[in-house]
Amino acid sequence: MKPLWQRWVVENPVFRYHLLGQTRLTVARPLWQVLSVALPFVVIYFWLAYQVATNGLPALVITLEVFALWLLAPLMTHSLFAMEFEKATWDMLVLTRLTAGQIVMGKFLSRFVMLLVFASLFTPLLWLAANREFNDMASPLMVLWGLKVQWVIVSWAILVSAVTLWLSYHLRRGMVAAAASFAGQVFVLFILPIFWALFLTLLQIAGAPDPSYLRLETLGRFTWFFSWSWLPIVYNPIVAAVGLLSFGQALTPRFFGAFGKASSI
Amino acid sequence: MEDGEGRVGRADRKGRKVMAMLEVRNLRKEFGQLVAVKDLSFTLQPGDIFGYIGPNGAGKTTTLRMLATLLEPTSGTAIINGVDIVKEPEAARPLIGFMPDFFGLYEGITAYEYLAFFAEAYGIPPAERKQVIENVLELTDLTVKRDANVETLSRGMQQRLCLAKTLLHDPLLLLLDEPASGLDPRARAELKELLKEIGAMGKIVIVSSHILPELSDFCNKSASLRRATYFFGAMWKQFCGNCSPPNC
Repeated sequence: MKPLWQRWVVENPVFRYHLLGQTRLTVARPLWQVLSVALPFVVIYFWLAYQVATNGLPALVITLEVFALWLLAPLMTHSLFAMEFEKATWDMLVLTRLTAGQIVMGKFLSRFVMLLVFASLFTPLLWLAANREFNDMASPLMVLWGLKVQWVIVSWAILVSAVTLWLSYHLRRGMVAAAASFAGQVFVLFILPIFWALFLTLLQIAGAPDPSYLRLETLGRFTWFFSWSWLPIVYNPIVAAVGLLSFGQALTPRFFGAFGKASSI
Repeated sequence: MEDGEGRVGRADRKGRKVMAMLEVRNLRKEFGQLVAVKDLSFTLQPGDIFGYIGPNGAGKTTTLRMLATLLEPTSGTAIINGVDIVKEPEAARPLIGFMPDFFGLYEGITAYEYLAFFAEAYGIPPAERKQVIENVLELTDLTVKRDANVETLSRGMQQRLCLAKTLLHDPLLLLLDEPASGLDPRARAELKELLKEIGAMGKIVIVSSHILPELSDFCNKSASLRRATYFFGAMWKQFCGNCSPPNC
């Protein structure tokens, strides 16, 4: 039996197709067209890097990465299985000698690599922001901080990718899978905390003693400090997301203020 | 007649024992109350091109999907070269090439890359891959289109590309579900020639269609399917005098 790495990546045409074949430019474009699309992104990136290096803004960088990765994750994975059913290629694929593991992991790992590429684009920005904020770029603590932030964001993106992949297989419609995935994220990250805050408010109105240990910030603060230890090897991305939002709230109270207000009424 | 390994054979016209390459035994598929295929049995030999005729909804696609191991029969089975498709679908798949009636192609790749994708997926060794792909491209007359994007190919060419993909792993049994649908007369004529050539290579080809004359001039065996029941009637002979019923 060949090692998993060889079966899932090296000798897996599904992985290579989704990583390279599907994403490349199929029609040769003139250089000016490529540059006109790419240059604005490069300019914005360096302008952002300059702003971050000058003003810090770690919460802004975290927020941008969160939105980029958590929005991209469903967009990148929603059609991976659905396209096989929509284009009627599934029957032909399953009749080959590829195993179910090779098909699933080939698709998933192709998107995992892309997520890592996107996450790596934000790493220099995070580093610059941390350096401006804490004035010590070389500190191991800062490197750890950067790794933890990336871990929290990427782990959630991976979870969302996996769920979207599952939806893509079961719903068999790419757009429906993407919509369900976005809706799920909105529910877990925004609606659920609001419900939680409302629940706590009702408890207080009913005369219950202040359940401060149940507050979102308390949970978030605990999560964040927990993440500083070496324990996050078993980190739950859902808890991680709450911790991240809570940490972001501490840094940018205006942006995340709604949660804080609602849960502390 | 049965050999030592339990495989069923039959005698040919000259009385020589020939091993059956495909034997379908009482194949049946039910969807709830609906009987889609009712106890289908036949035997086919190497080189047979079997025309499988029936109106829409008769059960042609269901039969082919069962033979392709994509659908589990309610009862009955089929034996391909001694391999039971129900008991050993994994072992049977390398022997089968299936071309569905409605198929798509992966976007963003050339015809050669499409075939390379499936060649690797079928486990063809890297050293042989290039030659195998060149061979099927030549057989399907697509060599000149090897670097063309699959999306830019005409419907007829896409059909041939799919057939090339189906031939990559050199299957013994080819299941073609309405391969001529949507093709213009010229593309149909080309497809017929191609199927004759494939039959001459000693493969068993099962071609389904709901248009009787479409299969008449190149199938050497044929059967009709009406309301899930397989029959061979005078009507078929009227259209296809040179064909014979499968051995059932």
